[in-house]
Amino acid sequence: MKPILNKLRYAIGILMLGGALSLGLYGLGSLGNQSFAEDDDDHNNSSQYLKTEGGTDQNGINRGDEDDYDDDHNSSSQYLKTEGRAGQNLLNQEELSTNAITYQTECASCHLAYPAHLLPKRSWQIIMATLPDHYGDDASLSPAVQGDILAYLSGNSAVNNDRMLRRVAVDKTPLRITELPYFKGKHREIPERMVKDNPKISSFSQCDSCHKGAAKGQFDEDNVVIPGFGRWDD
Amino acid sequence: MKALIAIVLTLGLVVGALASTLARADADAQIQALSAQGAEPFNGAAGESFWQRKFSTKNGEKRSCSGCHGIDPTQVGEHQKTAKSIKPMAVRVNPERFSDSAKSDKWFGRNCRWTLGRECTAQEKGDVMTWLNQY
Ligand code: HEC
Ligand code: HEC
Ligand code: HEC
Repeated sequence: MKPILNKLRYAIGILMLGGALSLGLYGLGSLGNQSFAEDDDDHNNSSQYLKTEGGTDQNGINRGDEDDYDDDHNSSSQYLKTEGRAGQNLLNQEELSTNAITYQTECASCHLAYPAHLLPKRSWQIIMATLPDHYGDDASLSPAVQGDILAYLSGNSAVNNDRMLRRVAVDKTPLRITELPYFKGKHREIPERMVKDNPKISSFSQCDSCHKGAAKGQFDEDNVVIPGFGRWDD
Repeated sequence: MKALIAIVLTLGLVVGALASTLARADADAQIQALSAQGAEPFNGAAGESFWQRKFSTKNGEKRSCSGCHGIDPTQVGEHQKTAKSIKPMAVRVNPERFSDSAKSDKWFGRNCRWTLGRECTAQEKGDVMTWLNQY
């Protein structure tokens, strides 16, 4: 899919480049025998054409991502009942969307991209500052990319009255979602044989093994299927 | 006038075409770029044995490229710690591989440090890419 998209992009790029150059020079070339008004028109047209092209493209990307973002947000307020994310106003929508994409690209290769609202900002800060030694793996990134991701995570992190932060002292910085008291409480009833001793699941950290909507931040009890054991009913 | 338009159009196309070739960093291009730093010509067979070789960490754990990517690079791999599946590494079945040199550099860095406890040499990277490119 991507290679095709890339090729398409190049093709459009080439066409636009060629078009822009020739239109521009055509305009210059015709200075002599045409009125200025007409010439101006020509210029406007070509630049407008280029602008709209860029605009649609960008809007396309943004729209897709804003949907995602909204999804995330809706589900988080639906399931975790939180309003007003800290720092959300610090960045404009476009930056937020790009950072959200960066987060998805960089943090979903080894596990799902954990929904940001599952940990507080202080946790994300430490996690993002220790990527070369990341739970025994190496997840190093360049400082610039790291900053973009931290901006996204902080802006969407858990805030004080979130369920996830119940019984977490403000001076403690949890480094795992799976170690939060709230998480442990919710998963207490699940026997070991369904997780540790289950060859189909490596650990509780793989939320998406059981929660089909995990990547979108959906963790409701009604949508849980434990691989090898089936739907969870209690 | 017409001639001018034609020239300009051609020029535009040439520039565009050049730009697109430059932007394409496939396995061939990456191997080419590394070849100046390699001690000897890259060798796919050496790349394969490197891929399967087991390195021991300080506490005796065995690590290898195939530990996550699998022995057969045309197959889907599995992250040995998180069990998340990893798309095949052989360029023939997964043309996206090595199409972005920044991505390749990033993963060579992480995975070599994790597996070997050091950076890979240009020779090792070139051998591995040659193998995965011709597999
Ligand atoms: C190179 C592979 C890799 C990459 C890339 C990676 N991680 Fe991880 N991550 C891991 C491993 C391995 C674990 C531990 C999983 C386990 O214990 O089962 C982990 C665990 C985590 C946990 C704790 C989950 C829990 O148990 O509650 C968080 C949070 C996390 N990663 C965030 C991130 C973020 C943010 C990024 C992007 C900057 C990222 N990861 C990128 C490999 C990776
Ligand atoms: C082994 C399967 C499994 C894994 C892996 C798993 N969960 Fe769960 N989770 C469950 C089950 C089953 C329940 C319902 C428990 C109950 O209340 O009976 C649940 C409940 C929850 C709830 C409470 C939902 C509600 O509506 O009350 C949240 C939140 C949650 N999980 C988050 C997570 C997160 C985040 C992860 C990954 C870090 C994760 N889970 C990993 C099986 C799993
Ligand atoms: C702990 C698991 C693990 C080990 C061990 C591992 N890799 Fe990887 N590797 C990954 C993951 C995860 C990705 C990213 C997945 C993806 O791009 O689909 C990756 C991606 C790569 C890429 C990027 C390819 C591209 O698309 O450009 C290269 C190159 C690579 N690995 C080389 C190696 C080499 C060489 C070794 C052995 C020295 C190795 N890996 C060992 C997990 C691992």
